[in-house]
This record gives sequence, structure tokens and C-alpha cells, in this order.
Amino acid sequence: MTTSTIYKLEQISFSYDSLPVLTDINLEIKSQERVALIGPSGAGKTSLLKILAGLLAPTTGQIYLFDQDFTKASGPEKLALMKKIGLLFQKNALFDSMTSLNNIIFSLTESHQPHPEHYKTLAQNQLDLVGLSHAYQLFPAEMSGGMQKRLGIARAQSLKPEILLYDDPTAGLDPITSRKIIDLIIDLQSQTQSTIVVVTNEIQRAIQFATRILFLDQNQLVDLGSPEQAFENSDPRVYQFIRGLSDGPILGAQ
Amino acid sequence: MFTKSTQQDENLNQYEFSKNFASLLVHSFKELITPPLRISEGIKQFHFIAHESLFVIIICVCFAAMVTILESSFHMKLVIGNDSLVPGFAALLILRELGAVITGLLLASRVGAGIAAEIATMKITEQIDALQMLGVRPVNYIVVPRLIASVFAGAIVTILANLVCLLTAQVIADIYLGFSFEMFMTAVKRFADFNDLFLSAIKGASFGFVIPLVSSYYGFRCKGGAEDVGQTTTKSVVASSIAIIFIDFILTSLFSQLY
Repeated sequence: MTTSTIYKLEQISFSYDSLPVLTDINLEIKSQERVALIGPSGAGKTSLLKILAGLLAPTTGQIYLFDQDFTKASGPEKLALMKKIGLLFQKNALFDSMTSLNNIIFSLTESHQPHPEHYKTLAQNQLDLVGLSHAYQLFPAEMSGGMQKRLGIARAQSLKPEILLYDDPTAGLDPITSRKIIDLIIDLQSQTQSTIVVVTNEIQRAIQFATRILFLDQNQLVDLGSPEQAFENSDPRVYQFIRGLSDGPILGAQ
Repeated sequence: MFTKSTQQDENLNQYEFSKNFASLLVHSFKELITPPLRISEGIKQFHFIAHESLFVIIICVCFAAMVTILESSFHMKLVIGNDSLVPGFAALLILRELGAVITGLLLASRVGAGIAAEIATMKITEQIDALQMLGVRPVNYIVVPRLIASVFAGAIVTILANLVCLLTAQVIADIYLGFSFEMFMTAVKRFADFNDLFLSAIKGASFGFVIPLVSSYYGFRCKGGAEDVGQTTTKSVVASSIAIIFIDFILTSLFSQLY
């Protein structure tokens, strides 16, 4: 297993409408790591994920992706780096005017993958991988929440990215479907050897797949280490969050 | 370490074009000449803008023509004692104002609202972010095909609306005022010419240019949920309508030098 650094974040801060969301975040993510990003609602997990994806620009600080300065990259350089990243959005962000098959064909077409004559077969293979081969003609609105997540994963995987970012992939799903989605993410990661970062609020799911857990709260990021180490962490905020206690320093969503 | 402004200048910021209308305008012109040119999407949009709007526009201009004939006849009789100038007056009013402005306002309410709501929904469901992740430039993919289609559709639909409006005016003038087809056309030719139809098409194209731009601008700025999509749509229709009236004034002032 290689341990080269994929992401290196140095003193990243991000504000939204002058409201600080992230402050002085330092982080390194190694190749093939499975990182879970947990934290209370509104802590800035999605913002951090979108910064990692290149969709949001940090207010200050630097991000190195594959040793290249992601924050200072020119348009074409940044696009080239972004093509190495697959992102499953919180709301799936499926193109609702396209069938599930066309959602994947569109991503292949727009990223100018070689051999356009094979796009349909490639797209069908992706749907097979996530167990949606029977639903190739369905539009996103005709699919269940779990199926939409699977389609989102298939689309994110379709360009064979080296990094996969998942924003709350189990949100709104029942525990069984939720577990299956995480199993699918682990299964696909073992096949593709990609590096993954998953934002989640479900501790059980984080423990299920993560090799490292990060805790984001009050604009600060805390590296909790392995799931076992996370459980042993004595910080009252981490203790309360991981055990889901109502009493403690975290007040919950206001 | 770098400052916010430097970093935003140097990075790809997908919503930079939504900061102000001028920025979107500049981005759109830049994307107009930058490949890929999405022809099939443009044709699809042309069908939506021109073909699907035509029936509503035709119905509205027909009624506008009826009102024009009857009202101008009533007032001319009141002021000058006869309505012999009705065909010429109606032709000028239809070709120079009515056909283009009614078409523009209807396109703003039908097409502009659709574009604003579509983009706003794409924005809040993160579909625009998803496009960006695929390396697709939102202005190139969303705005440019609608802009090109709307310019052509605006011109063509305006010409058709003018012709149908004139035809309806002739029929009403015949039925209610006794002007035969020959009498009507002779009067029309005396007051109006092909130039009026051509300048009207230019007005239609101008309205067609501004509608998708204004609608896209508001669509990209949408931040919230369903309520904000509704407000975005309303704002875009109001702004497009005001822009159409304003542009009509500017163009009429310019064209008055040519008549």
C-alpha cells in the first residue's frame, strides 16, 4: 500500500457572508485512506468537502493536491485536477431531465473520455456495479432515495477518479439501505484503490468504513485517529457527539 | 498565504458571473465564441421558445389587433369625424410597437420564467456544481444555447406575430368598418413598408437577447428553497419586462431617425 500524500491543507479558513465557517484547518490525507468527516450539523463539513472538490475557494490558506497548488492552479490546471475527483452530492445532484443511463453517458461525454462508441456499454457497466442495471431507463424522480444514491455513486465513479468525496451518502436512508450503501462504497474502493472522504453524521457508518475519523466543530478540525481511538477520546464534545448524548457542550442544531 | 481577492482572481469560481449582470454579459459573450457550440441543445431550446410559445402569442396579438382597429376607429371618428386612416394607423402601430412588444412581454413571462426557474432549481439541487465537477462551464452549457435560440426565436416569432396581427386587423376592419382587403392593403402600403417589419424583427431579436440573460442572472443568484425559486422567477419576469419596455424606448428613439 502506497502512502503518498493526496491532499495537504495548510491553514485553510473559509467564511460565508463574513461568517467564519472554517478556521486554520491543517490536514493531510494519504493515498487509499478512508476518512470519515463527522461533526454537528452546520459545522462546515459540506463546505470543507466542497473546498476539497474545488467547488468552493477557501478565504485563506493553501491546498496541495497531488503536490500541486490547487488553490492557485489556473483554470485548465484546476479542471485537470478536478477530473481526478468524484463527488457524490448531499442531494445527489442528478440531472433530472436525463434517465439514469444518460446521467452517466453525459458525464463520460462531457469529460471527453476516449472511445465514444463504448459510452453506452461503460455506463451500463457502472449501473451493474451499483446494482441498477434494471433501472437504466428510469429518471431520477422515478427512483427511491437509495437508488438515487446508487446512481450518484455510479456517476461519481464513472470517470474512475483517484479521489472520491461523499457528502452524507446515507442521509435519509433506512438503516439497512444505509449499511448497503456503505458496503458498496467499501467494495468499490477496494476495487479501484481510490482515496475516499465521507461526510456523515452516522457514527455507526463511520466506524464501519473509516480508517481515520475527523471531527469538525466550532470551525476547528480535530483528527480523532482510528475509530477505536475516536471512542477513547476524552474531549467532552467528541464524547458527547460520538455517543449521541443530549447533555453536553454541543447544543445541537439551533 | 494569499488574500481573498487574489485567490478569487486566480481560481475558477463558477459563480463569479452571477456577481453582477455585467459580469454575466461578459461571460456570455466570451462563451459565445468558445467551443463547444451546443447545437442540439440550441435547437431544443429554439423549439421550446419559438414553437411552443407561438400559439399563445398568436392568440394574444389577434386580440390586440381587434382592439387596435375598434379603438382607433372610435377615437378617429370622435376627433376627425371619419375613420379612413384606421388601416394605416393600425399598420404602423402593429409593425412598430404592438407586434414586437407583445411578443417580447409574452416571451418574458413564459420563456424567461421557465429559464429562471430551471436554473434556480439546478442551483439549489447542486446540479450546477455537478456540471462543474464534470468540467462543464455553466454559462456555456446553460446560457449560451438559450441566448442564441432566443435571439433567433425572438426575431422570427415577432415577424410571424406582426403578419398575423395585420391579417387579423384586416379581417376586423372588413367586418366592422367595411374596409375591403384591397383598400386595407393600399392604406397599409402608403403608411408602412418592409423596413418597418425588418426593424420590428430587430426589436424582437433584442428582446430575445435580454430575456435569457436576465432570467439566467436571477436563476444563478437563487440561494434558498422552493420559496426562493418562486421569488427568483417573479423577479426575473418583472426585470425582463422592464428591460423590454426600456429597450423598446431606446430602439424606437433610434429607429425614428430611420423612418
